[in-house]
Amino acid sequence: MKDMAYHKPASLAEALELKQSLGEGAIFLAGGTDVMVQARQRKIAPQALISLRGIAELRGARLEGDTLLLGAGTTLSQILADPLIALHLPVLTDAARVMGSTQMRNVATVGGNVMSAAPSGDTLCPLLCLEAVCHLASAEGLRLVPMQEMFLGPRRTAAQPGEVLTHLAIPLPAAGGHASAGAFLKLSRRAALDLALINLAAQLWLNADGGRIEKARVAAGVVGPTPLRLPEAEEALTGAPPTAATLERATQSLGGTCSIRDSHRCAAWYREEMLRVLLMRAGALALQRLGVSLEVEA
Amino acid sequence: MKRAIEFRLNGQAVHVEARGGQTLLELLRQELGLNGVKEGCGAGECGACTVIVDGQALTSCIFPALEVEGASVTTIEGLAAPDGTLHPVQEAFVRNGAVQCGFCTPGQILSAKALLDLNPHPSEEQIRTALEGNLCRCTGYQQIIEAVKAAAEDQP
Repeated sequence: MKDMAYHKPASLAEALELKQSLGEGAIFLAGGTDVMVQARQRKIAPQALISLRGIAELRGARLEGDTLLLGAGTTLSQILADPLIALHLPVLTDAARVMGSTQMRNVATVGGNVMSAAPSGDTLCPLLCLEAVCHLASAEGLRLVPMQEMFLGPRRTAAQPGEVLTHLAIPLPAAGGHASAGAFLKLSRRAALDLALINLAAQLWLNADGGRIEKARVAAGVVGPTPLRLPEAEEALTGAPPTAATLERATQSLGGTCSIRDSHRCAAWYREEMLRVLLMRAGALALQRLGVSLEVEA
Repeated sequence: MKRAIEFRLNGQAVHVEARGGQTLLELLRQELGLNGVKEGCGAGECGACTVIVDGQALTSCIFPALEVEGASVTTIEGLAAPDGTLHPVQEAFVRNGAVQCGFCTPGQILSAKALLDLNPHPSEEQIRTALEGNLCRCTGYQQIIEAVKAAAEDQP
């Protein structure tokens, strides 16, 4: 890797100032598991790196009323160890558990995963389902961008060059006494150290007597240029009883939103088949977490 | 850009100059002469370059050298006692035939040590998770898992 300047600011204000003075040639580094690989492979050639690892305010999760404020610099290992996240957001824990390897999870951050904006990024589908809001800080102030508006294309986000993702504000699904649970599943050739061939998250809310799905959020990755919410599946689930037949109907609704393609990693027809299977399984797992057990064949 | 940094390496304070574009792997091998840490894939995907930084295993081939300022770093060279007595995890690897060509072994042992330091009595699943980032093309993994189990059983 060529020589470059390296800055490790201790505060967000200092990081933003550095970026302003260094300009385009400087890039932010959160955990570095993506930036360092790209720099070593000469896919990027930054003149300076601004490490965000020294900024304490970007780490950890805390509750603010009915919102969980997750620091963008929280590592995947910290997410796995966090009891608040395990309790309220198992869909996110599911994703953190199957990313990379122990060594990667010890370094890689959730904010880095969002800003890398890979179509396969495993935390992205859960964050879409949870309707997280990105807090983007810059010299001009704070800008809030809903996760659904964050991804513009492969490795392209709505963040401006001078902006740092500081937090993900996640409304607690169970706020106001709602019964809600989610699940995330990933299909990959190897269990560890592999990108998803396809991944999917579902978050379901039941009505007061548990007889109907009141609200559903479904998102999938590697089904288009960015991770996508699947509104057709959400519509098929909403208002329906929490049964295997409902999940089956939702799988039949899929297709319109996605633009699934062949790639050297996986054929399109297989992704299409497995998208249905993952929806069936993730839906069943989310319902199981709500105390509804289903006989699901898929 | 070079900067003088200070950190603890295998229990000893070291002062060294590191560059902005340098990985921890390069610093350890090229500047500090610690050749036990191996470069395999160079992209964080094989685990041969695993070291322990502040108690956590990580892949040094994609970790910026300057990030270890003030940290405590353990490499395979820091495990055996000064008189050559092997660390219990190393001893267990020898006894269980967990070493063949040896290239992945330092990384395997450091991943295992990081696990056992945090969790002295892990389940087999926890062992497999801790080692999932370390590839081995010789042993078929079973002896490595057995070695870590044996090391755990020998702990107080």
